[in-house]
Amino acid sequence: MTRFERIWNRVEDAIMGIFAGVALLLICSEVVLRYFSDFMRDNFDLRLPDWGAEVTIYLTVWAMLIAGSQLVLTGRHIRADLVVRQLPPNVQWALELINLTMGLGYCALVAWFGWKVVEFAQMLDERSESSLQFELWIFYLILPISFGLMAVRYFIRLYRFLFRFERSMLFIEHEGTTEDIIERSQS
Amino acid sequence: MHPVPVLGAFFTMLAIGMPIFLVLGALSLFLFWHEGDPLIAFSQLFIDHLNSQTLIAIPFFVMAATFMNRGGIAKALVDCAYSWVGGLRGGLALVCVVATTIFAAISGSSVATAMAMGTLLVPAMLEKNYEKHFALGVVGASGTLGILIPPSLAMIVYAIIAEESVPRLFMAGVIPGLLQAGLFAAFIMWYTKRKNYPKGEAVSSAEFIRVNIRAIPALTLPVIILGGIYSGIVTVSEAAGVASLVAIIISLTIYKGCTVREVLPIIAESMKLTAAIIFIILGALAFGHWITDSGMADQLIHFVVENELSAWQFLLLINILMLFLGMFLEVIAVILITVPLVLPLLEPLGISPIHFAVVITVNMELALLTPPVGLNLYVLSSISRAPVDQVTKGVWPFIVIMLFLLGLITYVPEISMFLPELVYGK
Repeated sequence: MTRFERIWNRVEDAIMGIFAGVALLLICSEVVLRYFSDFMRDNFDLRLPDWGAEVTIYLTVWAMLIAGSQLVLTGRHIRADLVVRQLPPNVQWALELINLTMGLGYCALVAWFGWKVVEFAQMLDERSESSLQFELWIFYLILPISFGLMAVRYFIRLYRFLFRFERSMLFIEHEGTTEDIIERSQS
Repeated sequence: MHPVPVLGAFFTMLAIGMPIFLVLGALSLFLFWHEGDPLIAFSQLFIDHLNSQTLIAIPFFVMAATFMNRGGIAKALVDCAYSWVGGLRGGLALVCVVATTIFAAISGSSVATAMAMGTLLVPAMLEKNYEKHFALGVVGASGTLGILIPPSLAMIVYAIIAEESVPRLFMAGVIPGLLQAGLFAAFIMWYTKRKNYPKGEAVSSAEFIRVNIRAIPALTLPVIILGGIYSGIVTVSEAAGVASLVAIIISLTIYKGCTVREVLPIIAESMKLTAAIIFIILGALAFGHWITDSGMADQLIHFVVENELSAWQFLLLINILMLFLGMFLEVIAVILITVPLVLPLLEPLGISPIHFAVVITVNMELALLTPPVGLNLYVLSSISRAPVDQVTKGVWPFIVIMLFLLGLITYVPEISMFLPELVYGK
């Protein structure tokens, strides 16, 4: 992994952690504040904002979708490789090439049409129903960003697969003895 | 487009090892294009479904489970369970069932449950010379309780599609979940006696008191979640959020399994675990959209009416269909694809959607254990570095038990309906 990729991963991790962390605090503070709402209204003329749940959704969705890119990088998107692992390496190579190309194409298309969704929302000036009147294109922006990042990761994997191939890039069968497992758990 | 080539393409793409999110998404995108729908609607569908209050319960439940695993809470639960049943024959396997049942009342995810219990208990069982396939089988099968015992991510997704009450669904899973745990425990006791497994070491009274007191904060988590939801104090999503926050606080202050610096990275890790599910959900929603538009639901209704199928025959067919789909697809994807199809048939056949949700959930527990796409098999394989076939060998007896349970739950609806009807009325 290059230095640039390490920084890229850390930026994504920071966005995920901060966005989801803030969403967590927001959803919990709503629960607590709801029970003081009468007191706050009567004594301080303060009302519970009506946008807490909405912003929680925005932040959580952003945090979740940003994570897709690293799942592509590390091959953690769930798949059934039981059958493929039984095939000869050259067949595995060809199938993995199809998978990576398909992944790149699909993510690029969803990112492109996601961008169209953003433009459309901007054109219609779509806003949320709460008092925040949040411009929804900002929320929608996660779609082209997330799928765009996944497309880039697929491109990088495809490039490495074609020009810097290593056998570990194919489907691997786990191997380990009982002693390995005990040792790993103790280390 | 006719369903046969679509299903052909679908299974071929799965068989060549394509990620499930990509199979469902790419195929749906092609179908959108083929049916002449504007492709912008495809992306719009994703973002519209994501803008959901109920859906955000999923990341928060996964976050709570991740902190339980990494923050020492799971370890406290295992120690507590050991103090009660660890001294029996095959004690560690029984500990797994008991601890998993409690963990399931917090986590909502079978994969997270199997991951937490597998990391702690598989090495411990192997150290005590348990057969490897048995140890892996016990953890893999017990882990499935995560989606049956409330809270349950699978039931949340079902509730969104079927527009049912989440608390009512959760309640319906309680008795079947405890029944499953009881059946597993009975099998473990029989098996370990037959194989002459040694008895575990009993803990002293002082140790018993110490580990049980230490487990109290961990045991408050299910009380917070279920108590909060059923008292009406919080919504399901809020309960998940509060459970996460409490899990973080007790991980940092009581169990000290993680430090403040690790909180954000662990939250990020939980988002990655959630993303693996969410991208499949998005693809499955788009595929479900095509299924609804393709008129397959109408054809199914026509088939049921024409063949005068009764409720029991229909349930038998659905069980077979879902067991088959569950072998190839991820749990949430099966729910999102099949539920919109069969939902219109439930009322005419006199089947309660709540009872049906439990039938589906038990089916999906089986889906987690049946190859080639049984997620718990892969989790255990990854934790133990054992080949998937060895895990599969271990879960087979439990699959047979679960098939028996599935039959029982399918044809005795009272097992699922007793609690919801007792609390909420008919």
